Amino acid sequence: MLIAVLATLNALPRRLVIMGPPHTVRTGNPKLGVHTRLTDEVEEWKIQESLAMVREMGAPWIVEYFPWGYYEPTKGNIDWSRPDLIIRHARHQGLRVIARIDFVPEWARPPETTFRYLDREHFADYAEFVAAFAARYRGEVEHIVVWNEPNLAFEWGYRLPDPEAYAELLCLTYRMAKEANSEVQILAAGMAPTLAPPGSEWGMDDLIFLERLYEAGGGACFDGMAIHAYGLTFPPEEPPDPQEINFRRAELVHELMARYGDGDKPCYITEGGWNDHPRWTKAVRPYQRIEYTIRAYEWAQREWDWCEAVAMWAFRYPWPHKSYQDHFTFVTPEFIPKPIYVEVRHYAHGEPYEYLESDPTGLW
Amino acid sequence: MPTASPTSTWRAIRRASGERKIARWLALALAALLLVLVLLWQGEYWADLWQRDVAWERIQRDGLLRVGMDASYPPFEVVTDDGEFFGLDVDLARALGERWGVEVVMVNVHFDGLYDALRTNKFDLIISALPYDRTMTRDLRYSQSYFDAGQVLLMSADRADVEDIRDLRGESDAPISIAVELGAEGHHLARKLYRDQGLPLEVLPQREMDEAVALLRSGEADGLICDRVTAYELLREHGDLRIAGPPLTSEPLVIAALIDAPTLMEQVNAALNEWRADGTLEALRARWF
Repeated sequence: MLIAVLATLNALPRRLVIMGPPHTVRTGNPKLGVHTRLTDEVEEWKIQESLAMVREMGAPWIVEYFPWGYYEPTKGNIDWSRPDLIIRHARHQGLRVIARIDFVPEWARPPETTFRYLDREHFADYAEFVAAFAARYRGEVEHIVVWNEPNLAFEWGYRLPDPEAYAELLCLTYRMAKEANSEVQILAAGMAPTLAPPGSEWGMDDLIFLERLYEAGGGACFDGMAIHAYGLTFPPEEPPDPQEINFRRAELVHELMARYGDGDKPCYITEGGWNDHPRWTKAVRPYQRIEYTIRAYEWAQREWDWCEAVAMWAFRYPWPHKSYQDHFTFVTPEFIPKPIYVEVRHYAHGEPYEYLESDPTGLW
Repeated sequence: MPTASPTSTWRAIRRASGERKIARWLALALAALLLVLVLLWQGEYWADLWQRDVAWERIQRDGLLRVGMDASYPPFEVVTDDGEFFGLDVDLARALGERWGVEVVMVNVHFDGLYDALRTNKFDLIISALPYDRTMTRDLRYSQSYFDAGQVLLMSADRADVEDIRDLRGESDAPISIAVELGAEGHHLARKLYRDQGLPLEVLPQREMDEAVALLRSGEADGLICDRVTAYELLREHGDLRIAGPPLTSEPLVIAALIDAPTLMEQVNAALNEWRADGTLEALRARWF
């Protein structure tokens, strides 16, 4: 009897997800984007709801994280169901997906290491997965970011950042991904903007890392550059300075690329923005965050012809982090739009603002 | 009246004896099952008893407690350009070191990396205004809370009658006007109370907290919602305000250690218990807020 009841309960339909007709994004700024976090989102309707809200906000671009270790738990056995689901819904909403791939499965790293630890012996395993991903989503995912912030020790498995090793990983991945799908655009990883002093055990200055990546021959192994552009406490128009971290530090990255003959390669802001936590020292007030974010989107649209997309961190988390991280988001875990969401939507659609008293871009 | 034959009596005795045996076996099996269940239920206790706490042993052996924090979060933890740490959490860490007779060293790590750094043995404890996270309890041990940073209702000190946001309405039909900082947690909570609980709120979002406070102090707003840390700061500046009633939300801040450090966490909790009882924690709060 009990088994019958449990079986019945299990068989009850979950919240119905209807795809409906495909959508397109209506926006006044085609570079507008957000980094979504759907990786740990369990229910399909929430994935759909998140992506629908991105579209309604007027953002044609999303960056999404696809953890290799989630999908290939044993070598060669890849379960594509989750990425299939996310990409199908994103495409249905008319969104362009930039896929960031990292997270080392347990079988590809020594015991007692973190999921960011990838040694040379397993570079080919990672590259194989990226190639399989590129082949599977041909025509659906145009851009893939190889790894994340390799200039930070914790993103490199708590080892000293190693630009030469990253160049090897990038080149191998580039070659194998292109063999699998010649159309895919491979992006070099966005570096964490950091001013870490030389020899720091925690990280390496992003500009130094990038220079060493070029010196190691990495420049031939990517089609575009992912950039992380955080504004911290500075307004978006603050001029770039190698000794400061601000939104326009992205221009220094592009200048460095140009010095190495890569000035024509497109850049993509795959993380960025401002935080409005009440006490974090690197945060601004919520109203400033709204204004700065809108002005940053507008700055990229007007001033950065080398930049294809600006995906701010982060659209929504599946659950609260209960830390300053929650103050990067546009929408709460319960799908309540924050004022920043409301105002960015108004900006994208050229509508009057609801909370701001004047137009931060000065356009209308 | 029929009389039992010797054979049937013998059968009856054997049957009774067999039933007793079965009953005895059943009782034994039941006791064993109960024991197994108790052991499973109290598994963590037994595991703790048999487990060596390497972190605690190392702290004792080396005379050094390593504490991880993201020192960018006043008044809990900040670091100067000269590398000097200060704040409530720093005091807490030093007090633990003093209690255990060991030196304390702070390790400054970006908040995102705190858990990974703990896992890779960069330090023994995280003391960093860390919110309790129920999704991490398989890998970590959390202490009791030493501070609740949830949202509170702030209001004029002369409204002594108010202990709940609903009390603000009084006899009037007018909505309760609540000042909040635009886009802050208090703003989201006020919208949620209005939307989900049907409270008749008129939410007054202001660009700066100072503007929200001005509305409250001038009587244009009945109350103000903000987090407890901000509330303490405002109370220091404005003696005519008070926190009304219990917190509207709870956000316990805790200390974290690895799951295989039961003794270390036991020692942390013993200290917190004692300090809560003797007023040390309250004094610490008063020092920084």
